[in-house]
Amino acid sequence: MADNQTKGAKLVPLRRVDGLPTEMSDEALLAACALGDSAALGALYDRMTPHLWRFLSRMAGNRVEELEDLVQATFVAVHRSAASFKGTASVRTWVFAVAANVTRRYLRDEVRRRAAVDRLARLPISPAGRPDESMEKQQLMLRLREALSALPHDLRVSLVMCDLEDISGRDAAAVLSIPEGTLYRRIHEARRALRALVEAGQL
Amino acid sequence: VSDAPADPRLALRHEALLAVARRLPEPPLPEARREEMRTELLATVLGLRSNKRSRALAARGKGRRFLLTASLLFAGAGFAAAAWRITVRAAPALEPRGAALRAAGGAATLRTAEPTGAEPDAEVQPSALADAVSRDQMRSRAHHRLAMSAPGPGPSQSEAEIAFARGWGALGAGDFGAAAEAFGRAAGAHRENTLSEDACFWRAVAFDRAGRFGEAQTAFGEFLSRYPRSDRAGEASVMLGWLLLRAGDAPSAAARFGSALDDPGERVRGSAQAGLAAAGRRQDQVGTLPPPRAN
Repeated sequence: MADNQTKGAKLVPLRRVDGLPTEMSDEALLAACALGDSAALGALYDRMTPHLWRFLSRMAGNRVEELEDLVQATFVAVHRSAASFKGTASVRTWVFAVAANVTRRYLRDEVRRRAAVDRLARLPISPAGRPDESMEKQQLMLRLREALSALPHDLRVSLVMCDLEDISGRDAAAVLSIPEGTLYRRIHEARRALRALVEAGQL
Repeated sequence: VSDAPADPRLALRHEALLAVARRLPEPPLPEARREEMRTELLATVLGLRSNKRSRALAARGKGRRFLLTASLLFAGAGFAAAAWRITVRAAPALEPRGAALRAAGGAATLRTAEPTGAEPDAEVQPSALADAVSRDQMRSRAHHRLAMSAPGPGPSQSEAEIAFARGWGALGAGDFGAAAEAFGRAAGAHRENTLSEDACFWRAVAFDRAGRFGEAQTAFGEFLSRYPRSDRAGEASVMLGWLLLRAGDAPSAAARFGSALDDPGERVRGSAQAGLAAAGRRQDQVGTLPPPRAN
């Protein structure tokens, strides 16, 4: 009976997934979420939150309250759209794409992006050959974080996914619903813009 | 993804920059806080389910409820109008009494003579509200997150996003005319954002797929003039080039293909080279034709 029900539905079976959430694969947990199993959502939350937290800190900055809100909103969206997971990429990549969409809505008005550019412009550029290298590195990290915030959303998500999270171009393109060529162009643009922002403090 | 600049020193700096970016520290998330957030998440999700149920119930009795609400509103409006008329007429008569009472310090009674009964409710004070918020903090935060995760009720941006989503759906379903129309609405809402840029591009693609080549040509031209620095500019140039070649304008097509030759996308560059060759052949054919005879 169960075999007949699950036939042809590899990722979203028509029955509740058996087994302990801790022993289930990410795909099975997501399938259980699609069936309304809140325990599975909790398990997926436990499993994904550290990765998601890091991803979001690169996407949206390091303000803790905002990150908390974004994590919650992402998992609400994951719960809502779990049934739409097609298995074209890993669950982790798919969750990142959902988080990127949530972040896009959150940062939609671009006011924050401009604010980041302004903050960036106010940060001092470290002179070359400065003796205090740790201070210089700290400044660079600060500038880099602000530069990431200042990148347009599409460029930022491509760069963070592929360059910083080591997700393959094919998977990232699949979950972002864009052609691979477009993704590579965006990464190229993002790298150039990031370098320009960090080095010169301008877009 | 290869992005090696010509200058090796730049490449080195670029790699160093990405290496630093990979090591960017994230703020700590304490275990206790993570557990709290987990509880909040599950509360939010359970709230979502009950909302779904109530929406389903509301949909069933929608017609009946609409009639009831309309009749209540109508009756309420009639009652308010009648009360207003009575109050306005009675006001001059009450005024002397009100003045006397005001003199006697009975200001509270005067309120009966005021036409609008917008009295501040003693129970709804800011402090009381704050208490209510703290009591129901988890619920309100959950609503906030729900609002953030759902498309907000913003004016034109939401409409543009809805239009874009419809266009995308129509494009996937093969209804290219409807897709072009929806993308047109999405592109018109805002000029300077990524949504309108994408919508403008896909509108042109939808026209092309619908076989409306003239409109596709115009739409691609519009996209390139509006967003010349778009990361889709090369792709749009090549597509426009093929459309121009189809229309017999080989020189313009060659110019479009030429502008996409240094596009970072390999597929786009390949198409541009093929297009240039095709445009060259077309120009050669035109060149070998005998000149038109003058009558």
